[in-house]
Amino acid sequence: MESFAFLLQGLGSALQPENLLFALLGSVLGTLVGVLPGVGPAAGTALLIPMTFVLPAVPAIIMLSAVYYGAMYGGTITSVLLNVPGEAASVVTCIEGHEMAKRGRAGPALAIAALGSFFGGMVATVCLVTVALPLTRAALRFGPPEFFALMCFGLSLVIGLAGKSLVKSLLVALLGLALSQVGMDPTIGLPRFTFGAPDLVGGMELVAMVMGLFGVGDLLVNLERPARSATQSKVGRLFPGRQDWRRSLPSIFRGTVIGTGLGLIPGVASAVPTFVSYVIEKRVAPEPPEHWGGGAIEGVAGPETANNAYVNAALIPLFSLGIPSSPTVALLMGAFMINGLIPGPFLFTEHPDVVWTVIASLFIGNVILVILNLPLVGLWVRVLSIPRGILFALILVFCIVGSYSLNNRLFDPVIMLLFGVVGYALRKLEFPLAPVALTLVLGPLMEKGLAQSMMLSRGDPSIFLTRPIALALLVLSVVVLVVSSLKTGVSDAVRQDSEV
Amino acid sequence: MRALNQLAALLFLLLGAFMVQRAFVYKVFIEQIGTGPGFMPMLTGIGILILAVLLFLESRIEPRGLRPGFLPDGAGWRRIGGVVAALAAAIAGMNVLGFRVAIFLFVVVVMSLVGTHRLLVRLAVGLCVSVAVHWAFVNKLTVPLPAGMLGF
Repeated sequence: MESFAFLLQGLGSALQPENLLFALLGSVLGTLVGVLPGVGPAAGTALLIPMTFVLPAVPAIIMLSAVYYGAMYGGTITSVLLNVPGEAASVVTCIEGHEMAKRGRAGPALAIAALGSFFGGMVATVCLVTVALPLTRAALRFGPPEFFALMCFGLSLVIGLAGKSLVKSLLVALLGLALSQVGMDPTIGLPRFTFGAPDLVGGMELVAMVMGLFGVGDLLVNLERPARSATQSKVGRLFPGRQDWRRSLPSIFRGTVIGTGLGLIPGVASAVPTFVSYVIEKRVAPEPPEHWGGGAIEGVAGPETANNAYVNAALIPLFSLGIPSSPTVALLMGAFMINGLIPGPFLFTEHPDVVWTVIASLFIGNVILVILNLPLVGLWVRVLSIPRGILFALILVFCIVGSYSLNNRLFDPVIMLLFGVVGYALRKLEFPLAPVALTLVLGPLMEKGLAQSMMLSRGDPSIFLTRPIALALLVLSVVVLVVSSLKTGVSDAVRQDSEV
Repeated sequence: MRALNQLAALLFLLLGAFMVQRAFVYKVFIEQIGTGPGFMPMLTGIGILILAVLLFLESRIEPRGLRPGFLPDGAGWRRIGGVVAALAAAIAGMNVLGFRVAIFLFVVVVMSLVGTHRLLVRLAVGLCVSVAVHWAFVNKLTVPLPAGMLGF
């Protein structure tokens, strides 16, 4: 009940005209990011972070959160109409959604996807409201050893599920950790790895590195092949019929449970809930096997609902524990930190007005998205007719000016370019990028947690063995990595960077 | 892929060794405080060293050669190389030429590399993008962008 009282206060603030405007802007930009192949949610968020510097904390975070879940709505449109997934989590929708479009039923596919996403998103946000405070209260009893162990656990889940090779996943995680150590050390303020360069004393800008790794790197991969034109299906009649609803509703409920449950687990890529939902629908839905692959509406309703429920539920570990579950959420965490807020249990006690306003804005954002996406489908599809040359030039211009605006110096665009090349190379060699993004954000916090723990124990590392919660989390981390190394048959299709 | 992964392993090996070496310079432990500035670099460096060796060993079971389509064709390399060079030139040229001129030239070059537009279209788009982005960032977001020697 206490949570709902806070939520009502937050809603009052979220409904202020300024916050509403930025929720709308974020939803539009997020849908655009989702529609455009070649710009994933992580790159889109990184591109937009510099533009939020002039904004107060609350509208900035509202806008970036809306970009995050808006991208999932946008990806559906191109999957259904063009058989081109706007982002990896929409791949499954191509299977059944585009088949429906080829049969002249694009409208019902898009409508069910949007309405299912709305329902899943709202339920997941209610879970966030219900679970956040109790989880936060439990986490407030954590000390530095527990937080350090929790971050290790969150990272182990991301690393374990990130790519085909555990060694490569661990290597890039440590690469991110190494990069996060450039600059002043948190213990005595000694400059590290600066090579005498004044620009490196403050460390390398996270946003510039992520823009390079995810934005420029992905674009370079897209440049390998010439542009292909996609055949677009017509939208037709928008609303589903009675039979469509009868078949979709159980799938929507199942997708909500799957997406919300998996969103609570850090490290689960956004493609996982959609694949899991699709597989379950094929087994559970009463339609015969030949129905699948030919435009089964359950194959749109379930995965799309799971996708959006996942995205909203993934904010629970971020808000309550300060653990980002994916690259985009790690960037959201970075945005919090840029605004002087540290996500985690103390956020609820020190800045309750901020956090409850942002949570309330999730409800508003989901409403805005369903209104935006249904009637404006044709407009979003027209965006894809922008020639690739213009689109790529625009994206790169925003990368340059966005990275420059971080500190008004050319060093950051140089970093962006360098990491663009590094990101391209890592992609080609099948190194996953999700662990890098997380350790870039969590690295300084982990080092601080470790240093504080060692100070508490006067240099005795057994503090991690004598505190039961820390020990349990560290053991679980090792178990996750060991199990992952055994390659328990998780499909390669879901072991990928879903948000890049 | 085998050779490329082995090259990657070697680069990570060098990185790990470098980090361990620097860790000793920064001091791994400080008596009065506990862990020193070199502690995390030491842990990270050792981790990278071990994993680099494992990567090298893992790559030995991979097939030699590259799978078809792994590397881009000549046109693909030209696009990639051209865009990277254009980015570097735009960044280097911003302080000299100013933001608007540098970005105008950048957009024209990228559109030439990636698309098949007529020259007039490229010039028009370059002009619009450079002016619009400059206006948005300088006037609306109050981000000062370089003016360059030409003063604009």
